[in-house]
Amino acid sequence: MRNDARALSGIELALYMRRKTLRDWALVAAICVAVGLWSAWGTNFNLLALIEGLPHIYNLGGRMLPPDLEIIQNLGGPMIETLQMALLGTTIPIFFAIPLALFCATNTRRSHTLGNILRILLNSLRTVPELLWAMLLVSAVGLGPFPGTLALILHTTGGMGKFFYELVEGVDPGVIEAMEATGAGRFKVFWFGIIPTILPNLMSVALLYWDYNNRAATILGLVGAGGIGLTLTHAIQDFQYREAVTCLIGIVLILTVIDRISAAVRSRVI
Amino acid sequence: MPEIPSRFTLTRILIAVIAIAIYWWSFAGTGLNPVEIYNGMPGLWDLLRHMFPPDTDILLSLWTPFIETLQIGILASLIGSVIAVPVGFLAASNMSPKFVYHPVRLVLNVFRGVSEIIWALLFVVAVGLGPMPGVLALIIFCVGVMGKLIAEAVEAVDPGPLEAMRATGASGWKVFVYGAWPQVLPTYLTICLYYWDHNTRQATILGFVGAGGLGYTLLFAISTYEFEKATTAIILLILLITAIDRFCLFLRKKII
Repeated sequence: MRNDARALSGIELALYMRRKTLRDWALVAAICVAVGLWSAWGTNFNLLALIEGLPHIYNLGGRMLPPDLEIIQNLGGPMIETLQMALLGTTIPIFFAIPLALFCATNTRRSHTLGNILRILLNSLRTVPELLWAMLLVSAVGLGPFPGTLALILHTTGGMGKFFYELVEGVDPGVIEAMEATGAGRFKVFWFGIIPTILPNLMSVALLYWDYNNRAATILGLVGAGGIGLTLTHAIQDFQYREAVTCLIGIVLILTVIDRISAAVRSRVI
Repeated sequence: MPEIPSRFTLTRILIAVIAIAIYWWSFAGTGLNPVEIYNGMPGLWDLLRHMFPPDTDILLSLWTPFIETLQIGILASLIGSVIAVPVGFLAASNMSPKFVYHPVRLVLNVFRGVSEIIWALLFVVAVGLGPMPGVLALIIFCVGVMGKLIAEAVEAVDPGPLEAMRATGASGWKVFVYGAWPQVLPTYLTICLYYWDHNTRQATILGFVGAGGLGYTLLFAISTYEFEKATTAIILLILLITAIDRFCLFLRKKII
């Protein structure tokens, strides 16, 4: 009788629900703590090592400040390279992602098998971190911004492809049917029916990826793929920590500026 | 007959010219031109040939890094989400005084402005290789991002129920736990799940700078040109992240 919620009423029901909710949350909390402890054991996480490492961090801080301002003029070139990588890495994939989305989306595809294979391909492209792509491409074609841009293109095509086919699938079927009723071929339905419907969302996704790619482009330099990340890596490898901090400050400033530009464009255009 | 305005206004032509100029300059700057693509083709083909077929002998030895990556993601998300709650409340303009709000926001911006990899690099230099610097770096970044999102959720809290509770004489603590917190909870849970997924992805990347997990194995495999092993690790990576993605979707449907 106690456990049959339908037989309870009013205050009794409220108290029962509250106890049940607390019990559920306690269970979730217990699971989290157990999994957390297992993870801590597995990663050798102990606060002692962190406390022992604090003098190292303090030491590092002392060697990192004050930032070395003399190299600011050398940062301009790599910074621009990073921005260029991000720009190309965002706009070129749009041309690949739109046709791919057409072939994947359930409401516009010709063949189910091809569509599913392409979906798996897109998923793989976007799951592999762009840093990993960059590493592979650097060992294939050498250092510089070229492999970095290719890596961004690969990763972004996957990501945009997924967003795009979800958008295409969300288009109101009435639009497509109306256009087909007037005798429009597949391409016209796509170009004049689907694209105008999803265009604001397309642009929103593109802006999102531009923002993300700028951040990613700075990191790609870590594996030799050009831009300011490369300058940063060289500084750290040469133990020139003060230069590294200047690079870092430059990166944070540029990313903040891009953030603002992106927000401004978004509020104006979308 | 009314004159239809021309599509080619001066502003649009100017924008088009500037855009073409920027693109031309970008292509030149990044070296993305047909010549270089042609030159890079043999290298790419070579890479592909070496990457397949994947080396399945090392599947057993990849198990430990695989689990390690999972653990880094879980631990960083748990600790980060716990720390982010009080920090988020401190960073909310309607809950904390001005002299606390501004510095905390600044600190949070620094935490998230510097990407996780840089933090991981710094921590590797500070505490050595292995999974621990990865966990620490992810915690820092996670607190930065989640703190900001929680602060925004707290600022969006509806003051009506809070005022009503205070009118019935509820003390500050009760107002918080039963008034403000339930309004923040759904957003908080969504953020936690999303960043668990994100942290596991990042855990693999952080391995590239030595912070443990599958990324570290990948770094080794690629540096020693053992590309077949790299392919196996990559496939495991894709499986792990896809699995967590699905799990998060499933949890999301159950909870929210």
